[in-house]
Amino acid sequence: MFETIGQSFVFVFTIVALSYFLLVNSTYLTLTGMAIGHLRSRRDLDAYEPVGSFTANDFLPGIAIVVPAYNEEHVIVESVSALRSLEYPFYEIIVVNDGSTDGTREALFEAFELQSIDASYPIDLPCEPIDEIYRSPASDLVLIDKANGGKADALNAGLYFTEQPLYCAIDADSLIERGSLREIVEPFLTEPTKTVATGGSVRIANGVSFAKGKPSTVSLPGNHLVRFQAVEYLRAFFLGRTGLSRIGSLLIISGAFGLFKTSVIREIGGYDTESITEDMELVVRLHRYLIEADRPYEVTFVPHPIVWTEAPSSLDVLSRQRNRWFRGMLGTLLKHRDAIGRPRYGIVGVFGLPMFLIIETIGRLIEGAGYVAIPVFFLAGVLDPVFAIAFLVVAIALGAFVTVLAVTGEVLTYRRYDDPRDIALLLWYSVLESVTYRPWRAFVAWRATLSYVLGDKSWGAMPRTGFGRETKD
Amino acid sequence: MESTILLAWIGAILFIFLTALSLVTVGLSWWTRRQERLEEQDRQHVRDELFEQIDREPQARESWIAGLSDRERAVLTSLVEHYLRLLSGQERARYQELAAELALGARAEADLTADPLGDRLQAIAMLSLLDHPISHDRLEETCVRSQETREAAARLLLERREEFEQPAARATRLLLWEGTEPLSVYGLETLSRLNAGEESPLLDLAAEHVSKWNTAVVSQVCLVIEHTEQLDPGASIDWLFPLLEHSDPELRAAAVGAFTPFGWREDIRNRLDVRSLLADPAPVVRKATYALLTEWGGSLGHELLLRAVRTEPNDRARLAAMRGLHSIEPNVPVSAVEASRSAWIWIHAEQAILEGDALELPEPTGSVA
Repeated sequence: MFETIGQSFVFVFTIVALSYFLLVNSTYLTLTGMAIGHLRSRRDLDAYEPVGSFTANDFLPGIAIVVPAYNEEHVIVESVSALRSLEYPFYEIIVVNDGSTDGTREALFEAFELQSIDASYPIDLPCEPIDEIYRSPASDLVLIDKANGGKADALNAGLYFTEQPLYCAIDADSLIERGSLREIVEPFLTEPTKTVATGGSVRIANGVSFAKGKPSTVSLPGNHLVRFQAVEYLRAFFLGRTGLSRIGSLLIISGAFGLFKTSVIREIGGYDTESITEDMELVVRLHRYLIEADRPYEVTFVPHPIVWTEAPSSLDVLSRQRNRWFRGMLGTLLKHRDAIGRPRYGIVGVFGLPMFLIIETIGRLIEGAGYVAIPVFFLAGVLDPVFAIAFLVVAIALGAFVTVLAVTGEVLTYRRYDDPRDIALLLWYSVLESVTYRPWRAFVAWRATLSYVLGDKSWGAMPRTGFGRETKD
Repeated sequence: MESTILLAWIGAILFIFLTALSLVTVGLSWWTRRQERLEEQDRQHVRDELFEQIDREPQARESWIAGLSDRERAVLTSLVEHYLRLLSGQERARYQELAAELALGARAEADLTADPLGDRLQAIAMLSLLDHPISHDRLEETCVRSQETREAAARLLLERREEFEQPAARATRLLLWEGTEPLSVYGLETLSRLNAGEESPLLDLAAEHVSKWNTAVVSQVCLVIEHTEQLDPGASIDWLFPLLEHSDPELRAAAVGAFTPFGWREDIRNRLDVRSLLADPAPVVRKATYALLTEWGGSLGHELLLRAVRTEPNDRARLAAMRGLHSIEPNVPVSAVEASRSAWIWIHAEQAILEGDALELPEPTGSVA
């Protein structure tokens, strides 16, 4: 009897796992295919530049670049220096020092001749207490020095301080390319009355040399973990988001590079300081607010503007990062659970949110369960070994297929990795990913879920090494 | 067993397909990189040759042009377009001459009916930069299907206005069309340049059609008017006044802004009920009114801004009023604006840094030290 029950369980589990597997991969395949098609079809349109002087256009919206910084002394000066040479005529930089305990503030003082504005800001900013506000007399650079409150709190300080119609949230450890601000603002220029948020591409800075604030050579780093993240970024953060944006279901604009309409984000109350993935939570809330208000809007992913960011090169740090991302996603989905599957919220309700729940969350957990269940069933003698091997081969191939397609998409579109040897490496890691990185990620997902259930709301330390330097393998 | 065999076959096919796709991808990467390098080399030497050839007579360039490969010709076209966007006067005329020799105008005119939108837009942009003859009828025939092409065609009319009859009126009509599609920022700039100075067909068009336009378009029209110089003493803006009572506060604010360039007209200043605007329940409208008063200046502006900094309940609007007052009258003592003391101090502190001066903070009693 037990053997029968066991076999039935195995059968059911196999069917569920296979179904999830097909669902996950077919969804990503569809999104990736749509993204590639969309990018290829838009190439001519993206190359079009209206006649007239861009910099002399009085209607260009001013932008505040808000840089929340906590213990970023190694990277903050280089990051802000790059921000000061952007190819856009109207912007200011607001660095929010969120109670750093290292030399972040001192590094900024030394580099940019900041002077204290000897006055309290006459508007209450909804954040932890402000110690002092500084300004550079020679440029539009402001430093808000405040008590520690977390990234969301720091972003709120900048969001409510600025008087610019748009604000751009970027990470202190990110390096933005000179033309990227102009590129990410484009939807706000072509559809100024509807666009409320745009997100740009985040690429991995490890292995990239920088000179005068821009990449001089782009190549894959030697670190295996970072290489896995490189393929992951191509699949999920580049083509995946392009596909989701295409169907109006973009639910994440990376905190490392997003541009928003200041007034609308203030209308929804700014960032949720309780969330550890404030970027996703903000965008989901933004969708809901505008849908409920019946206001036409666009939340768009713009693939060509790039910000380079340092990816974790140690398993420990990466694990903390992914743990936080997964817990944050759980928290956001739980907070907005009443919108999941509801036609009232259009494509966001019936596709976007369910996709994150079923595929990114539950799917990851089922995947993790499968990695444990298969060997257990095998050892228990209830699983046909040949079937198991065949299943594994199909699983690896399907999983790799989506990523290989993403690498192909990279070659067909923006080609930041333009060395064929790097492409070959990315392809190889696309296959390796299925047997190494993905099982590890599924394990992290289970740990994160357990942490979430136990009430863990921590961020975890993310040590920086600075740009242009290879991290230790 | 059958399912196992099926699964094994699926796996094998997938792996074969994966391998093939990977090989194609690597091959494509290699080939594309090679093409880019060749194109970069072409770009370098075509640019060098262009600088040598540009000052020569057309007849002397014929053999050079005839000897260009397709890729070199494409590179040359993009270089010519690049310099046409940058240059003016005689230098520009030389590039226009070269463009004619390359038949860029004829090609662009043919592309007005191309299928991809990008190609059509590119064609209109190219025609904007050239002196290739193009009739208004041809533009109407080919460029009115979408807001993007209408904007590009309007830009062409602006860039080549001497060649057309009533270019401002025609281009304005193209931009606004049925008043249902908002303009891009590029379109707003074009509209603004078409309606600056003595000629403002936008005001006439608005007078006739504003009730049919959607709110977003009307707001944009108001924004454009705010950024133009209006010199016609008889320009009718009666249609603006009802907008001040619209249910949408953003539109009311935009309408307030649209009065900015008419401050020199006494009839408008007398007719506009600024005090009523200052009592508007929406802070965005009051803030727009403070900006208007700042631009208009004068004793009325000073009086009303002074009152506003004492009574405005909204922090941001009050800061805007204080900034406006400071720009009209930098020496207003803090004692006069005690309710906005913190705003006064902030503005002066910021200014002290920007001007490199020492800040004199007021005493707690309110008088400046």
